[in-house]
Amino acid sequence: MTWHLDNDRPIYLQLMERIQMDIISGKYGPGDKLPSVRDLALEASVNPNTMQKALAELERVGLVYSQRTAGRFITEDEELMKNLKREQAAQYLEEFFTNMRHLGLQDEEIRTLFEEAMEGERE
Amino acid sequence: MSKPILECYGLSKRYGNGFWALSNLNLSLERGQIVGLLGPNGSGKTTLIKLINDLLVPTEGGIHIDGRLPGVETKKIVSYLPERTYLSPSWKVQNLMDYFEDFYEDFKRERAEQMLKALGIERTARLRTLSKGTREKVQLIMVMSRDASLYILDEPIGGVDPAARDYILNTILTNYNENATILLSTHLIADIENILDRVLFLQNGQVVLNATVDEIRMKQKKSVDMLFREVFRC
Amino acid sequence: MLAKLIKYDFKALNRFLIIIHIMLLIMAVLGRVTFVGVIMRNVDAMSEFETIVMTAGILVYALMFMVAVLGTEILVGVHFYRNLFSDEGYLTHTLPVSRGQLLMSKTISGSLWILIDQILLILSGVILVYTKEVAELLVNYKDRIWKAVGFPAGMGYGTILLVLFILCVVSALGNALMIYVSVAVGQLFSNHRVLGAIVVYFGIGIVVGVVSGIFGASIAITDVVQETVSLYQLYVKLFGLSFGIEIAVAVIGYFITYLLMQKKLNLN
Repeated sequence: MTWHLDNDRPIYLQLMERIQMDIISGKYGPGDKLPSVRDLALEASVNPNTMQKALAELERVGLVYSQRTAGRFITEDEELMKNLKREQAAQYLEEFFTNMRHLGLQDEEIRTLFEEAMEGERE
Repeated sequence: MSKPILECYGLSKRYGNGFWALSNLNLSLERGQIVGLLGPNGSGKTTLIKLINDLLVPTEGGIHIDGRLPGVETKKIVSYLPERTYLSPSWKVQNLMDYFEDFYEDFKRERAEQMLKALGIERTARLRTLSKGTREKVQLIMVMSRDASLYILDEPIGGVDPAARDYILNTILTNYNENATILLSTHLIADIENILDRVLFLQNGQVVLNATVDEIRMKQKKSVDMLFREVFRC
Repeated sequence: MLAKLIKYDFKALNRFLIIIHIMLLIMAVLGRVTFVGVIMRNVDAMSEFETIVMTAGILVYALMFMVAVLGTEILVGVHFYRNLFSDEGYLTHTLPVSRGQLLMSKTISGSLWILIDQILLILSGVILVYTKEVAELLVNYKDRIWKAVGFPAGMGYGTILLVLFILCVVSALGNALMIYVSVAVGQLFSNHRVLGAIVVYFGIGIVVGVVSGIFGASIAITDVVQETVSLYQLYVKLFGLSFGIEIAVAVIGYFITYLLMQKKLNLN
């Protein structure tokens, strides 16, 4: 129920990432209303002030916006969402390549393995 | 900005046996945060908590709570959960609620009843018939059902199972309001780190660290729990 | 707030004390039926069974009398200790009331119960022996009794009851505060709080006993030896002495207890 958080990084950063992930993955659609700070804090079992800080940061980067009394909403800026998704994907790919190179694999081998895996996925 | 909810200046306490439990402790806590009071046994946590609650008199220095010395007025705005259970075993749960309602103007009976109901505790149950764990929860429910400005929780999760711990943390988070400050002493840091804004490390009766959890994680690249283990390594 | 404190203090004390005192009165009635009733009928022609019933009745009454006397003081002391100096003290001392209010509430509830106890003890005695014959005796032979004990002829039973009542009130206050100050001093001995309280209680008892003994004896000796005053005047002086001592115990006890609660609270 509570969110999994690492021990060695600031909590608000991890909360930001988690919500960002929920937005990219479509758990929250564009224009959706976010739960209140209190509810999110309870869900994550974290301090409400920390959650507040995470949301304020998300607001700063433009992923959410707040309307005075109504609460916080997910941005309707599709372009921004698309960019974020691409950024995240790029990050995963980078990790993927780093790991593969660690194994000492060459580009051609990586490509073959990747395609085999894709084939397997499809079946 | 309003005045700090808690201020200690040059606070010192010497016991009858000559032991200085606190020596020249200085501290100022703002409103609206959850603060962890951490330190090994004998570091002065309990002494500090007793002094704030007017259960001890300082040897030197003093305390201001919302700008006042500990006394009748501060007890109206401080909600205290001691480590001990203070419930009369012959009382029923509803007697306890009557008691809190009679003495504390900020006690919200509906809130208490709702939480008791959620736990399936009957109002007519005698405290003696409840398990130790349930009694501790009842006591926490009473304390958190007050709209206090300063909550002082002494080892609220000491010696309880993980499910009970989650319930307790949840209760604290649910009832906490933005203008209140919670001072929470514990030695189980890892379990509560995520709900804290700030931690105070106490050692030999003095504050040796006063920082926010994220400051510590950012600067030290490690959790408060890890840092605690390093600072207080035996 | 004081009224609320008193309400809860009575609630805690009433639990056992009401039962104990109802039992006391029941035993007095039973004693009256078995003991006094039987004697009044015919002492010489008592069957063995009647003798046993009579003895049992009077023993049980005497036992209940002791239970009421000791029980009241012990329960008043235990409630004071438990409510203020045991774990319960963590709640009591963090209520938004002053230490003075806490002690005042305990003083009122505790001494009132001791007073009720004293009155009911007297009442139980009256129930036990106050038959028609005794009543007639007290009316018909009042002058002679008065002369024998040295009361002035004009003094009525009302005055005696009033004096007795005043003595009961001050001694209830004195008793309660002697218990309280003992508990408050006893709690300073962290590991032997109850033992400490008991030792202090008997210590104070001895001191008060010695002081009143010395004063009482010196008054009696000087007055009787010099034959300057009547027996009645001696009574008045001795009454003044007990009154003064009880008040002194109560006042000194109150202030010491208050200071200890304020400055030297020692919760485990």
